[in-house]
Amino acid sequence: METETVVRNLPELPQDVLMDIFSLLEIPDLMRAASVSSSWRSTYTSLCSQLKLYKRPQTPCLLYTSESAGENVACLYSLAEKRVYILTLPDPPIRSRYLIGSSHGWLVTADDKSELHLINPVTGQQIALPSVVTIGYLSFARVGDCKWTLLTPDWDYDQCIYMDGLLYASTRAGKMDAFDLTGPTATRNIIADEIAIHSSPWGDLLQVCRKAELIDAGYEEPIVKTNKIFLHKVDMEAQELVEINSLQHNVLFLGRNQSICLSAEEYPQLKANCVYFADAEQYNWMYKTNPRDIGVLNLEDGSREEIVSPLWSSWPSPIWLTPSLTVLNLSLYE
Amino acid sequence: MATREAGKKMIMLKSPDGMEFEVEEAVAMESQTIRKMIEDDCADTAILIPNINSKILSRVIEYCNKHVPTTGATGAAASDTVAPAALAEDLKIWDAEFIKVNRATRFDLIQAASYLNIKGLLDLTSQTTIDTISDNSLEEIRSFLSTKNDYLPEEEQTIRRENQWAFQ
Repeated sequence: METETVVRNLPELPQDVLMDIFSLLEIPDLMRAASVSSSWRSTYTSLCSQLKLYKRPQTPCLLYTSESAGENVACLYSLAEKRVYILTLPDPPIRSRYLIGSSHGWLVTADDKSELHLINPVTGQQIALPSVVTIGYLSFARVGDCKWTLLTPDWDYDQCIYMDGLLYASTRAGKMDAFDLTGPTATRNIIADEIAIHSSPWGDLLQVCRKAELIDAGYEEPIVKTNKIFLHKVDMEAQELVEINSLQHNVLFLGRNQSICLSAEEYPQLKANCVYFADAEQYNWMYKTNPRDIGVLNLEDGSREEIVSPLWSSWPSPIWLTPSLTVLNLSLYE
Repeated sequence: MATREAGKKMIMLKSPDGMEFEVEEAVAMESQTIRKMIEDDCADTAILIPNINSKILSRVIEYCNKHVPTTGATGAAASDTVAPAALAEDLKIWDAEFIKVNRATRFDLIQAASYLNIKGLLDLTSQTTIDTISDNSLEEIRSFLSTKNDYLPEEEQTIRRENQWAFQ
């Protein structure tokens, strides 16, 4: 009873102070805090509507599924907390979909009819993309569009990065184009003819090559095991590649995610000069029964380490995802 | 009253309960709110700090006094003579002692840090609250942070179901 009295006499924290505190919470803690009371919930809601105030850095997680968890369940392994969160996602069942890519907290998935969805596993928001019937080789759609806009019928692009209104697309053969999507009609500029640009880390553009050994282990296809990473810095002026052998204090995430480069100083749970990799855009991820190529490669000594004991199912192939509270307000576009 | 003592500019801070504190300007300017008042020339006489009683204000000043040399505020004593790592370690130990206060005082300190806009003090005083939210059930959070549950049971169920995964 005595503690009750003490509790009643204490003041509640005002909303602006709560906002300061909430902006420092991890996403799961923030979501739990939103359930404490209606005033805490409104603080959470106003933080979500001004996400630039939410300063907590988000460490990438590995999203995978497991047969025992269920068809609609995704497991999110947090590298920061070294634990798993279980998320139930809307239909179609996540275990029946291809996990094609991830960017800014959103997954791109394809169902058994190849129809595409965007899904934010953390908020559960799902958006059906325009039907693939309307898609060309390189196409784009803005939020709310009901069909895709064709950029080019060229079919050989395999990497894209969208930055400041420009879509950079590169081919495996070493060509890179930039499409300006800000105007009413998209325009193409050829950036480079001979260099393949894979990712965009700390200011410099990097070309990243994964060298893997192929092992015939009696599966559908030979299994893939990444054993070396080659890094080249792109010198845009000289149009040439300069080999580098260290990421220094940085950390690279490779896979079907939009490439991520983080500083281990800001993310102390990650190991500096290491590459965290999952199945990439090459063929291995599409084979349903093949073992996955997931781990951490230390560039210092070349050692390869597993991330978690392989609890994940082979299908769909796990993918890196940086959790985000971003919600797309579709009503603005209708 | 702004006075001069041993070459250092002094500032007078007044609490609503009538106490006056004379502090070095550099110490007072650890607070972004006070810094702005001084820079905007709104502070030629004593500055009244509303809503912060003398007990809390004296603790805030104690914090600012301790932290002023390392944050490189104008006119602060040079800290070149001590190794930065040792200094940081010393501050960490001092902070840990400083924050050993009861909940009511901590809440007052959080609000003072927020109003006076002292980032270091806000981070320090908020950390316990962050830990409380991270480590406890909803019921415990409500009890420790004196927040009343104003949801109807069925409302709470719905809200919890929406974010079920965060409760694992």
